[in-house]
Formats: sequence, structure tokens, C-alpha cells
Amino acid sequence: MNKGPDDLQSEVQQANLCAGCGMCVGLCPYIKEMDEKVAIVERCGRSDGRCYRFCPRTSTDIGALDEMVFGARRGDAVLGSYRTLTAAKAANAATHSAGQYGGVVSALIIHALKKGVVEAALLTRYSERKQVLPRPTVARNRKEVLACSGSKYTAAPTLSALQDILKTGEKLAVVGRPCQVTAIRKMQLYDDRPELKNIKLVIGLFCLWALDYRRYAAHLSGQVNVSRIRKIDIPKNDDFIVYTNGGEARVPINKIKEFIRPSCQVCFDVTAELADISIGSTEWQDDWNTVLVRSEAGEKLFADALKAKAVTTKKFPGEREAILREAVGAKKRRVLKELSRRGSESAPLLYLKLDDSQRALFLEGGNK
Amino acid sequence: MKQNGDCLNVIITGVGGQGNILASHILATAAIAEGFHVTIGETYGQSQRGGSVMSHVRLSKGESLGALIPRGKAHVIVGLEPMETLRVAADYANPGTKTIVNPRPNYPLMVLYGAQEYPPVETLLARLGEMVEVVKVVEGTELAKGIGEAMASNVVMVGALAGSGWTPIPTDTFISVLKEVIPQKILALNQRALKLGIESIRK
Amino acid sequence: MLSILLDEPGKRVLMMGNEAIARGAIEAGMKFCAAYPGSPSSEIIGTLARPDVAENFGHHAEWSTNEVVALEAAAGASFGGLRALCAMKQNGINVASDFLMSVVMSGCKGGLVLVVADDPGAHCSNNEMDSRAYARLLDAPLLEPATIEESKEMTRWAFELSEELEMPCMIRSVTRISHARGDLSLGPINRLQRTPRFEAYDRFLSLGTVTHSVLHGKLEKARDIFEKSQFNQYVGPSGAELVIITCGTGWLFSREALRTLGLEDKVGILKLATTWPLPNRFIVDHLKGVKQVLFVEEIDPFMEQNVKSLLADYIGSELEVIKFFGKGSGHVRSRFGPALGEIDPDIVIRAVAEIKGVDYQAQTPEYAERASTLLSEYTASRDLAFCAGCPHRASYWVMKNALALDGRGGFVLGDIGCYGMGAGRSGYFINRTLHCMGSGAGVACGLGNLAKFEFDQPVVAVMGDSTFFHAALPALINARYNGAKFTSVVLDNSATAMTGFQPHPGIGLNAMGNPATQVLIEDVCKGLGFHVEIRDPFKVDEAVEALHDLMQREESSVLILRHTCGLVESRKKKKDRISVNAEKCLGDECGCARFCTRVFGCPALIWNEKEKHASVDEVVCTGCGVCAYLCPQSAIEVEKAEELQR
Ligand SMILES: Cc1cc2nc3c(=O)[nH]c(=O)nc-3n(C[C@H](O)[C@H](O)[C@H](O)COP(=O)(O)OP(=O)(O)OC[C@H]3O[C@@H](n4cnc5c(N)ncnc54)[C@H](O)[C@@H]3O)c2cc1C
Ligand code: SF4
Ligand code: SF4
Repeated sequence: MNKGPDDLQSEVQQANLCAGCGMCVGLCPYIKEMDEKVAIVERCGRSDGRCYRFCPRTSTDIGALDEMVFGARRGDAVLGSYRTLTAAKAANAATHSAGQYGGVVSALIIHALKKGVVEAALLTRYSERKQVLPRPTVARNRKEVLACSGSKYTAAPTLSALQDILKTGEKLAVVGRPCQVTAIRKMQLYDDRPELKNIKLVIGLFCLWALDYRRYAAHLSGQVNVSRIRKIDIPKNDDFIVYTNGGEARVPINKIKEFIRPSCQVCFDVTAELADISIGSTEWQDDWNTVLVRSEAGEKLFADALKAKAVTTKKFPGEREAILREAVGAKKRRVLKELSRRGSESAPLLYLKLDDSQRALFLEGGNK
Repeated sequence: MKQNGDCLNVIITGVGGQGNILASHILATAAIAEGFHVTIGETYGQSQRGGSVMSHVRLSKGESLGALIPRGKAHVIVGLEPMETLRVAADYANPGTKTIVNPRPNYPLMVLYGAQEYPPVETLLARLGEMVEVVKVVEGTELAKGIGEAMASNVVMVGALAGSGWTPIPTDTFISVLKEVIPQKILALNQRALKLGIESIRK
Repeated sequence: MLSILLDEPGKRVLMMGNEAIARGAIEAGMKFCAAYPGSPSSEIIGTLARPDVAENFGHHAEWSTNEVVALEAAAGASFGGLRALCAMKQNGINVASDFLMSVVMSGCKGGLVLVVADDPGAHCSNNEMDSRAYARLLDAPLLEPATIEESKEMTRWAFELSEELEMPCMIRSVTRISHARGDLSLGPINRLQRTPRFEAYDRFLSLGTVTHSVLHGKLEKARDIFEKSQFNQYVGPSGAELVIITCGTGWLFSREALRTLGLEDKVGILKLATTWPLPNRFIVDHLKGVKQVLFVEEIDPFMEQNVKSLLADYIGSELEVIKFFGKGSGHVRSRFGPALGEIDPDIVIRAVAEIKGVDYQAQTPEYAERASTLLSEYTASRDLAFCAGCPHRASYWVMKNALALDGRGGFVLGDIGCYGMGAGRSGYFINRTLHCMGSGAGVACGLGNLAKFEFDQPVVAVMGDSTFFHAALPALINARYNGAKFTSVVLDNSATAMTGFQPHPGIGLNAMGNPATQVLIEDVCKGLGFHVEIRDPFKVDEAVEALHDLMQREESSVLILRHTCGLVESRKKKKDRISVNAEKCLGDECGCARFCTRVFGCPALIWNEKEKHASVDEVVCTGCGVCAYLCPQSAIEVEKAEELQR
């Protein structure tokens, strides 16, 4: 069954399911994005479309995607396929301190650029014109990578710039949220343009939610001088804290949660299950990252970075893994419930396509 | 001079921006120089904006005529655009009408949008031929481009009318009144355009 | 030399109706004229304001900010003793009507002539109305010229009449006179030298019933004058059974109808040039023995009804029983119906033929049928569109994008002017209201003030630059004062483009082309306390973002989309060459699916069906280059004019 932009509009955008990943924006001149709101400006008249197929909020066949990326279906229903789970941080002090937590994302990208594994990286940095608005950016050297360090807590449409960079023919790394990783993988699954081979590395961030830019920015601008933001963080179980050059502002986490994008409430992927490497916080040490090395390409890069002393690792404690699994599993269970509530006969889990065995695996609590 | 009380009815038709008004102005000025009464009715409300534009130029002796030609009473139609020529002919032509047409199409908005079609020009001209006595094709735009100014195609077409022998105005009068109508700066160019038109219809 | 400049009485020249009116004013020694441009009236002041004309005859000419100001200014000059002219289209008289209503009562000193050009058929208007109803409402003398030559003659006469009656006179023209051209003979120029002075005893007061009664006296005096006017005439046999009573364009159409039907010896024509107040005696005297009357006039049955009510007093005494034909009987009807649209010779021919039982066919039935098949099969409709290179097209694209990206169901309130086309395809159907000048902002004062009823759609009001000064200002002040929230978009193409590029207060030139104080729209808006942004609509992305961001603001704001009208610009400089790189153009492929032709719709962009790519019609293209900016494939290429010259 072919579906196109009209369906994307009705099933995703108007249904408040758009994750703001930016994929469709880059594909089509009629799909535009402004302040993280994506809209179809004009009908192109097609009844089928890449915009619909690549969107992470249209029918997403997890089994097929797993097979494409990892060569097999997953055995782990909570964290997805992975090879290793470790704690890590950037070895270089400047990279480490620029990073959100351990700076591993930045360190790996810098390393990949240095070694020529990739020539460019599609990252995300704050806009120069609008406050706390993240925009897609291409980094080609260490300085440019570090300019993108730090998490921006809204749904940056990073992928809107992807198609243009692909055309340059450069070998490419992309860093994105789980929804964005899914979009890239769907594109690779359904499209055979030769330039897609240029994507050499996909690093995924852990992500429980992203905020709605308009409401978040409006709230912040009443609280702090947003032009002087240094870093934003959510220390465990604490407030949402905005550190600026002139002091800090705290927003109670419950207030912040009012601004969560509706689409994130039905997001099944917390750890970027289709990435080459997935990276998150550790929830117990602020300057370290949790790293899930998933694919062969990911493993190769990570080992190489370790050898080159770009990153240092330490063992991921067993009890922390249990906590991680519990947190991820909890969200997945909540989402699954919500998806089956909203699903229809033709799409029982709305956008998510899980076959029975995977679903059973998950409901059993998860491990192979 | 012809039927319907000693008058000549000429319609110059085209699309906004093609210089229809200047064309009718030249014809009218030449006619006045020959002692005719002239009335020009222009339908050009929004002439700059892609709409159809037509000028009814009416020459008479004795008394002035109204600004609109009655249906079926055009003696000559000068078409600056083929589809417009057919449109005007449908209302104003009769089997004795003579036409001069610039075959270069100007596509209507709905055609550009792909919502309607523009028929092949040859077909348009063939259909036109079934309605009127003569269809003379004059490549106004191409000839004007040849002298470096496509916009002068209107004057080429007036030249064709001047050389056609279908009006009671001597060709030389058209040539001599041109300077009354056209600013000095672009006079030479337009004189060339007019002559091109005269020659082309005599071929 | 321009014929209006000639001082060669008796010479026959070709003039447009509006030029003839202007020449009539010059021949009358008019010294002050003012107008707000509006088709089909614009060329009257447009001609008088030409630097060579104004200088030669020493009059003042101005484009006023709106019609009521224009009329007031002209009245002021008249109060000082000069002959003054004011011109407007039918919409304008509505704007001017408040002052008009009282200036007829106060009277005037120097001849004051108001020309109103109506637009039957609405060739260049968003409304169709017959302004003559005002004459009756105002108790003002009304003159209706029937030919180009009469336009000049009657304008000249109107100044004398106005001075004789000490009140303004109204001339009514229509598109088919104002925008027609014809030959006429030049008259002598009245080199009237008056030194204006407001005398100690001068009073121009409108004082209720007292001045109203004076006005009625003047009207009776006008009637007496009209009884003897040369411009009213009867042509035809004596003892005709059928008489056509006509005015304006109806005169020549009626002549042609009778000639065409060969009825010149049987049917009479009573041509009225003074249609309010009616020359009662003149009419009654010419209808003695007449059994049928056909009224031919444009648009409303104005004369028809007035004459009928006049004749009610005479039928059965001085006159026989008369059967009336016209709009009331349905005999005079356009394709829309009676009292709608314009009339033409065929309508009159048909009416007379029907009454007289004559058979008339313009084309043989077979021919007519073939013609109509051709029309339906071989012609496409030619909708109006923004011109190639028009900044409005880009501006509408900007609005369309910003509204979609805002996503809260925002909409645009429009008004008239070129950008009235914003309600159509060329403006992506964006304008959702269309009334009168400035009404977008006025209506926004209502829709933008409904928040307390939980109305949450963003409201955008568009206005042109000239409209901004004309009528939008009071609405904008109202918005500030009464707290309406909306985003105003001023489409500033630096000209009153709709009517032919007249300057306005924002431009820094006056009507006669001399430097004038420039009143900047942004300064005015800032002075009113609005947040103002200025963008170039051809830099589409920046403009979209600016509008989008303004729509997010809590307070009303103004976005000026400024880019000179392509037609003005292309007159000034050599154009860049724009072309499509056929290799790069994707056309129907998934991607843009013919963005430039199917969606953006610049008339210079053509879809080459055979070769499946777009191309640029270099004759139509103005070289603005906005399509090159917008083409998602970067398939449209620009060669700069400077490079081309090398
Ligand atoms: C919206 C959001 C929610 C998150 N939620 C969680 C969570 O719940 N639990 C958890 O463990 N981790 C979460 N993370 C991940 C975490 O914040 C760090 O990004 C991650 O741990 C990597 O840290 P680092 O020190 O290596 O990052 P850095 O070296 O600082 O690199 C960060 C990279 O992230 C990219 N980036 C920043 N913001 C965005 C964005 N909005 N969208 C896409 N890319 C972006 C930048 O391009 C940069 O390359 C979230 C991240 C985001 C953006
Ligand atoms: S989720 Fe991504 S692909 Fe889907 S509609 Fe939103 S921006 Fe487009
Ligand atoms: S929660 Fe899911 S949908 Fe929302 S930003 Fe994160 S990955 Fe995307």
C-alpha cells in the first residue's frame, strides 16, 4: 500500500506524532520546518513518497531494520542488539569538559574525522539567531565538533540537512536521537541511492523525551538570560538546571515535563537501538557516559578510539545495568500500552511493527 | 471601406504586456492623419497581469463610432498571440474577416499550472482558417528578436497590417506617423520593426 | 509633442477619454487638481500631473492620500477662488461621500468639478456600482458625456456651470469613455489668471436645513440651464413611435443599432447629457405622440426610473400612454442580466430588434455554433496573475509558508489593489476577505480581538504601501488603542502599481515628479508603537521566518515586505538572464514535481511537456531571479546583466 505526503500530514503531523527528526524536511521542497514545527506547505500531488516511508512515526518494521543493521533480529527486547556495554569518557580534557557528560560522542567524532573514517559529521548546535534553538550543522574538524557539544533538550530537526550533505559525496557520521537514527535506518532500508553508502557511522543518543521548542523557549526566556547559557542538565532526580554565565536557573522537573513533545510520549526507543554506537548518561557519575557498542562498524571505531587513547573506559557495574534496564523497560511498557490503546486493526501498535515473537520476548521482561 | 456604413473595424488582440495599446495607437494616428474619425475601445482592465487584451479600432468618415465593435463585424483582426486571435475571432469574425497572426504562444496561468492544455499552434491556426477568409502568419516575436528587442513584436505586427493593403491608409502614412507616437530614443528601432512587418507580409 | 500641450484650436488629435477630460479642464483654466489613483480614472490627474503639462499650464496637481482628502483639497482651492478638479473611480466616491454631502450645501467659489469614472463590467474593479445615485442623493448637477469629444467639452462647461451655481458639479464617465480613445478638436485655452484669496466675507458652511433649502434652489436653477443645453439633443424622425432615451456610451451604441437594423428613419433617439436634475420640459416636449420608449444606459436604471417618475405626471394629459422598455422590462440586459455588467452595441441591437420584431443575427447560426465549439475546445481561460517578477507572488509564497509553519490555522485578511489577486490562484488563495482599501486591517481589529472568546487563530492583515496611507492607518491606530492583536503585512512595492505606478507619500516624489517629503511606513508604525520588521520578499526564507516570528508575538506587529514592483524595476535597468539547466531540472520526479510552473506560477516559467523540463520565456521574464532562489534543484541559473554586457 502506497502512502504519501497527505498521509504523512494526517497520520503524523496533524496527529501530533511528529518527532521533529527533520528527515522529511530535507527530502522535499514542500515540507518545511520552523522552530521545530514541521509542515507540508503545498501538495506535491504524489500518492507515494519517501517522506512517508522514511518517517520514524510511520509503519516501522523493527525486525527488518534489525536484520539490515545487525544481520539478525534482536535477542534483547529492552536494550536491543549490542556487543558491549561500558562506561566511558573522553580522554582529552578539553573534549571532556565541553561534552555534556563524558564527552564520548564528541571524542568519537573527532577521532573518526582525524582517522579519515569520515570526512564530515552532521551534528547539532545552537542557532546564532534564535536563543536555545538547535540547528543542524556540519562539522569537519575538532573545533567544529566541540562547538556542537552539549545536549540541546528540544527536538532538533538535524536530519533536515542530511540530503544536502549526502550530495557532497563526503564520508559521513551522523549523531542523533533515537527517532533520528530510526529515520536514517528506514531510509537505508527503503532507498538504494548510491550516496547513502556515504553514511559510515551513526551515533545515537539515549533519549527519554525532547521538549517542544516554542513553549520551552518562552518559559526559559522569562527565567534566565538565555543568551548566556553555558550548559543545561538534569542531575539525577533533581530540577532541570540552566547554568548561565551569570548564575543558574532551576525549573522544577515537573514543570519542564509539561513541555515534552507529544510524540515522545509514544516513543518506543530509548537507547537508539539501531545506531552503530549508542551513548547516554550514567546516572551515577556526571562526567562519564554509558556506551552501548552495537554494530560491527561501531565496534571497530570504538576499539580504535580506545587504542588511540581518545576515550577511556571502565566496567559498567552490574547493579547499574539493572537500573538502566528497569528505567528503559518502564518507558517501553508504558509506551506499548499507549500504542495498543491508540492502535487500530490495521495498525495495532500505531507506527510500530513488532512481530509476535518480539512482542512476547519484550513482555516476558526481556533477555535472550 | 466596407459594409455597415462606411467604416473599417480592426481588432488588435493579445495578452497584457504585449504592447497592444501602442499598436492600436499607431494605427489610429495614421488613420487620423488620413482624415478619418477614429475610436478605440480597449478591454484592458488589468492589462499588465496576464489577462486578454483587445483593442477595437474603428475608422469612419462622417461621424464617430462607439468604442465597441458589434459581434461578427470585424474586418481585420491582428493577433499578437494565436489563442487570443481564435478567441476574438469566435465573437467578432465573419467569413470575410482577414487576420494576421503572430504564432508565438503566451501560456495562460492554467496551462502553466498544468490544469489546462494549450493546443498545438498549427491546430489553432488551422481552425482559425476555417472561420475567416485569410490567415497571414507573421513571426512577430522572432523578427523582433532579430533586431534585438522582442518587445517590438507589436510594431512588427502593425507593420504587417500597414503592408497588407487591408486598410484604406497608405503604408507610408504608418511610417510617417510613427514619430508622433514613439519617443525619439527608441524610434529607430521601431522604424526597423515596422519595416520588417511590412516586408514580411508582402512576401 | 503631446497633444494635450498643443495650443492649436481646431486641430484634430487622438486622445484617451481621460486625457480629453484633462484637456477640458485645461481649456477651462483649471489651476488645481487632486485625486487618489483608481482605474479607470487615473489618467485624468496622471496626465495633468505630467511635469511638462503642469509646468506649461501652471497648475498644481497632486496624488492625495485618499479620495476624501483629494476632494477637500480641491474644494479648498475652489474656496480660494481657483478652478479645481478632483477625479476618482466609483469606489472613491464612497470614501469622499461624507465631505461631498456637505460641500454641496456649503457651496464653493471657483468652479469645482468632480469626475467619477465608473467601471461597468468591473474590468478593473472589485465592485460594480453606478455612482450616479449619488447625484440624486446629493442634489448635485450631473453631466454624462457620450463621446470622447464631449468629455472635453462638458468638462470645460462644468467649471462654468459650477461657478454659475456656486456649487460643485459632477461628471460621470465610464470605462468605455475614460479608457477609449478617439479624435477630437482642440479648443482655445483659457489663460485665466486669478489670484486666490479667502475674503473676509467668505463662508462655506453646511448648516442643516437652511443650506439644504438653498441647495434645492440651486438645483432648480440647474434644471433651467439644462433645459437649454446643447448637449441634450434629439435625433430622428418626427412622429417616431419608438424613442430611445439614452446617455453616455448608450448614445453611440444606439446610433449603431439603428444603423445596423436600418431603422434610422423610424426610431428617434433622445440623448441626455444632463441626467440630474432632468430637463423636464425638454424630455416631455420630445415625447409628444410617442408610444414606446427604450432606455439605454449603464449600469443601473437610473435615468429610466427618474424619467418614468417624471412622465407619470404627464401621461394621459400632455403625453399618450407609453410602453417602457429597458432594464425594468429586461430588454436591456448583459449576459449577467439587466442592471449588471456593461452594455454594448449588440445589447442595444437586440433590444431594438425585439421591440420592433426585426430578425437580426450577428453571425449565422452555423457560424456561431462553430465559433462556440472553437472557444470551448481550443481556448484556455486567462486568469489574472501577478506579473512575472512581481514581488507580491513572492510575498504570498512567504505568507503561505509562514501560515503553514505556524500551524495554528492562521489566515490572511486582504483588501483590493493588485494584491487583491491574493484571493486567487496567483496568490495561492491566501486572502480570505476582499472589501475596500484598508479593510484587511480594519477587519483584523475585530477578528484580532476575540481572544476572550477563546479565539486562538493568528490573524494577518495585508495592505499595499499606498493603501497603508490611504485607509489602513486609522485601523492600525485602532488596533493599538483597543488592543487588537494581529500581524500586519505591508506589501511595499514602492508604487501604486494597480493603477499605473503613481507615487505616494512613502516614495519621496510628488505627482509631478518633484522631490517630496518621504513619509516612511516603518517610521509611522514605530511611532504608533508597533514592533516593525522589514524584509525583502525575494529573500524568501528570511521573510518567512520574520513573519512566523512576528505571529508568535503577544502584541500586534508590522512586517514590511519591500521590493520594487518588477515593472518599475525593469523599466530602469537591464535585466539578468534567467535560464533553466535542463540536466538539473527534475520536473515530475519525486522532489519538486514542477514547483516553478505548477506551484509558484510565475508567467515566465513554462513547462516543456515534450522534454519534461521547465524553461524560461525570456520575453516575459523580468530577470528577478526569485525562481532561481526557490528552485529546490538549483536548476535555474542566473547570468547577471553586467556579465552579459561584457
Ligand atoms: C533531547 C535529548 C534527551 C536526552 N535524554 C537522555 C536521557 O533521558 N538519558 C540519558 O542517559 N541521556 C539522554 N540524552 C543524551 C545525553 O544528554 C548526552 O547527549 C549523551 O550522554 C552524550 O553525552 P556526551 O557527553 O558524549 O555528549 P557531547 O560530546 O556533548 O555530544 C553531544 C552531541 O549531541 C548532539 N546533540 C545535542 N543535542 C541534540 C539534539 N537535541 N538532537 C540531536 N542531537 C543532539 C550534538 O550534535 C553533539 O554532537 C539526551 C539527549 C538529548 C539531545
Ligand atoms: S517525524 Fe521526522 S519524518 Fe516524520 S513527519 Fe516528523 S520530521 Fe518528518
Ligand atoms: S523521545 Fe523519541 S521521539 Fe522524542 S526526541 Fe527522543 S527519540 Fe525522538
